[in-house]
Amino acid sequence: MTSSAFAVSNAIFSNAERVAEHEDVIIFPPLLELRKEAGQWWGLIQGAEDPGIADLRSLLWRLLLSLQLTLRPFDHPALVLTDQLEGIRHLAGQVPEVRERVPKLDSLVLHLYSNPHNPKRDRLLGLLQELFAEGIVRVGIVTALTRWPLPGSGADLEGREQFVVPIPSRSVLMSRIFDCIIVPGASRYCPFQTEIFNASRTADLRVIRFDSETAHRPRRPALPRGPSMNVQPPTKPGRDLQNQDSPDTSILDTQIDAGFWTALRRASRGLEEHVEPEFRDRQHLVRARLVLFANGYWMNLREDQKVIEISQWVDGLEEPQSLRRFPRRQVSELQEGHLIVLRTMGSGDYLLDVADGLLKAHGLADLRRSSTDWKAALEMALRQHGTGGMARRLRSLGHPVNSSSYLWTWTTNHVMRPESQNLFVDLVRVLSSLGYSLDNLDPEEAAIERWVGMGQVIRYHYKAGAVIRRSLLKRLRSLIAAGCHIDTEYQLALEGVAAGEMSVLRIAAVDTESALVPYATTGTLRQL
Amino acid sequence: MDDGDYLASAGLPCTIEVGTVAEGGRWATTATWVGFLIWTGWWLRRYSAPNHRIVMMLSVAARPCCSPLIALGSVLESLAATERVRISWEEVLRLPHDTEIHLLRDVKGAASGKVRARGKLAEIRSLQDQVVREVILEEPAKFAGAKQLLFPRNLDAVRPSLVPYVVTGRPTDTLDLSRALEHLCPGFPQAWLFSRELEALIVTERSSWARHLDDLQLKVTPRDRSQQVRHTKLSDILFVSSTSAQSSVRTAVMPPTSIGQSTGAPLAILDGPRSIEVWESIEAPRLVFLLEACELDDLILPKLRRIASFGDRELPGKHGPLPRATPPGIEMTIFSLRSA
Repeated sequence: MTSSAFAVSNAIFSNAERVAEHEDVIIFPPLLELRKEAGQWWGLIQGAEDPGIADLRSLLWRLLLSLQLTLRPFDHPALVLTDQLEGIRHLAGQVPEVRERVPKLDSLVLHLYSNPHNPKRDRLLGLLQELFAEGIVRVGIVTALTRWPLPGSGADLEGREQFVVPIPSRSVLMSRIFDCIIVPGASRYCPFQTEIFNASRTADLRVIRFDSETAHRPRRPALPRGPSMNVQPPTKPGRDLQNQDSPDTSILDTQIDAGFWTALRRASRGLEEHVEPEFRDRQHLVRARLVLFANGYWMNLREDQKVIEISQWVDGLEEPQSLRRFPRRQVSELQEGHLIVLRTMGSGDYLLDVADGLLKAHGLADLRRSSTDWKAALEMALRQHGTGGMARRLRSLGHPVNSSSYLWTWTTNHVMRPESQNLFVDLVRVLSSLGYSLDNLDPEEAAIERWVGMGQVIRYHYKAGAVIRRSLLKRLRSLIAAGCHIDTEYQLALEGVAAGEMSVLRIAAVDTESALVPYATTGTLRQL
Repeated sequence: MDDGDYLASAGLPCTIEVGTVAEGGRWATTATWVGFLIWTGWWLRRYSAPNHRIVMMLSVAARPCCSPLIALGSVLESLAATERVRISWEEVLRLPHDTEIHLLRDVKGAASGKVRARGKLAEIRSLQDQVVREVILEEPAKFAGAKQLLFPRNLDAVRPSLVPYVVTGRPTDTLDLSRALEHLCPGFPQAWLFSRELEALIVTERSSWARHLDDLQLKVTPRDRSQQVRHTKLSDILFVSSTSAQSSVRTAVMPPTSIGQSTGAPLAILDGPRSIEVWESIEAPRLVFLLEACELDDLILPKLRRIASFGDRELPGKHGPLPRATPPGIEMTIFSLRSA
């Protein structure tokens, strides 16, 4: 029986009263040494703005964090230690300040590789055994301790997986009550750290961390004190963990975190910084958000776009039968832990490919090309004359163009054609007057012919949409019914739909800021 | 109040417990958070300060079910207050000239069986050896200017009150509710059931709000053991539009996107961060800002601090005792804002 909201609330308030936080700190000199060495490197290259050095800082930090947070033996292939070291060696070779320290770093990492016994793994398995022996069954383990993917994540829990609920996201944490929540590491980079410590989803919170990890408990959120009166619950001293940040390590962590995002944003925003402002209206810029996936890829997603998001169903928060329509979310509403469906193989848009297949089957293989050839002409005209120039010409023909940058969207497949036939005819007239004639026909005749063709293509888009929807919903329902758990990624082949491949991808982080990026850089998966 | 019995100050003649239909019979008898939230609604509704708005910010461990409990507290005080404003003969004589007064008479043949009237108190005089007080009627329009006499023997028939009566239907479908209310407030005026005055406005974006409420039941146990324990749905006591069997709405529930006109509610509960965004559009004299502790993030806290910075240093007027501590999982800030 599903508990009522009142019963759940009652349990949460009860947890708020009883909660106790325990910390198990593992003294482990090899990682402490590695942390100190990373600190030395950081000190030597601090402040340098060279992109290569920024990358070196990121790699170094990634190496340290992957070893501190992994629950696998240190020689596990998932840690890709050899590759990680190789990347650092390569970049460090070009930085005189740290070149000589490479052998020391090598020896510290190789020591761990040749002594792979991971004491954190032992403590975790021991704790699970202890809890199960006490009859405690609703145990959750936080599996997203950073906002980006790290090598070596996940773990084989020696058959205990079925008794443990992985907590990869805020929504999974907030949807349940746990007898115990285990946080296997310092959680300062966990995107839902505040909720872990303050949302009262358990009365028994256990942190297992190495002494080399910086302990950090988020502050308990408090209301403004108010000018007249503020009343709080009675405090119970000693039930919360205390922070042990030393100023140097905190600053180091904060700077590295910021550095990671700065470097990634730089890469994701692509050409934007190299374009002179006066030429900005000659390329198609769209507002997009950087989304990082748990499989180590990232993508710029247009902010005005909606994507299919199914974490509620896959993570068991909603009944499978309630998946009737595509659950879509605006890109700006995406959070870590969400599962989104994206095309991962094949080129172009999935809908267009399926529609083209249908057009071909009905002997209309060339219809899209012949009806939309004006888009290429428009793109060239925009690059040469800018959106301002084109918008002025259309306005002079009596068409109010509120946002001249919107003209760029007509060059894409997201918007098939302008909203009225008159506007389209005048657009083709303008193109023709600028020397972009579509063929030997009169501009009006050429425009009407294309307008009719595009209408037909749009009808095939509707048909393709229905085919994909039916097949994808069927596939997703069977995936959910099978109780499939998705940590990072799941590939979907749609029965009866021959058009590339789709995947369900787990989001690891979403940039808090959006940015204007070239349209061409959106919707493409790239590896970190 | 400091021993966690927050409802003690409400002086209820019964004990109340909240539970759910789904958990059949498992009543949250000792849940201090339930009692505290009912107390907040009760206290806010009881406390008024002319030319001020009272703001209560609440941070709670879990938001679902909190706003209905606060609204329940407000209803409890409203019931008691309605009883308090029924006027005795001594008060009829004492009230100043031109005081607005409301009357309710049983009239056979009227659609609801009752007719309400509004008028102003006028002259006190003697008629056939007894003292009477005149009321110059203003409503219904056809009786405007007519005089209604008040004297000790007709008070029960005309029911003079300082608050308006609104008659909407016969109380045939309200027996269970009526009995539960009788326990909560013995002798409460039946007219309360038919008033269209709003008790509370709840601004929330949760589509599940009504579903959560539908589960909740109130168990009312009279202190007098000879009387029967009564159960009633919380949604019936709150008179929520979609869930109540009543034709009138006493608790309005609106999404923040629909706020635009004044509702005249004496209490508004802004349930969740998006609801708080619209606080300036709401004219209620008492405001509750309800948030989960984890919702107090860097976006919402500066807004709350800014609102609190406009508050007066002291709560005006008499507000009665306030608790020294809240239950675990709840924090409370109270202040007043001068009305524009």
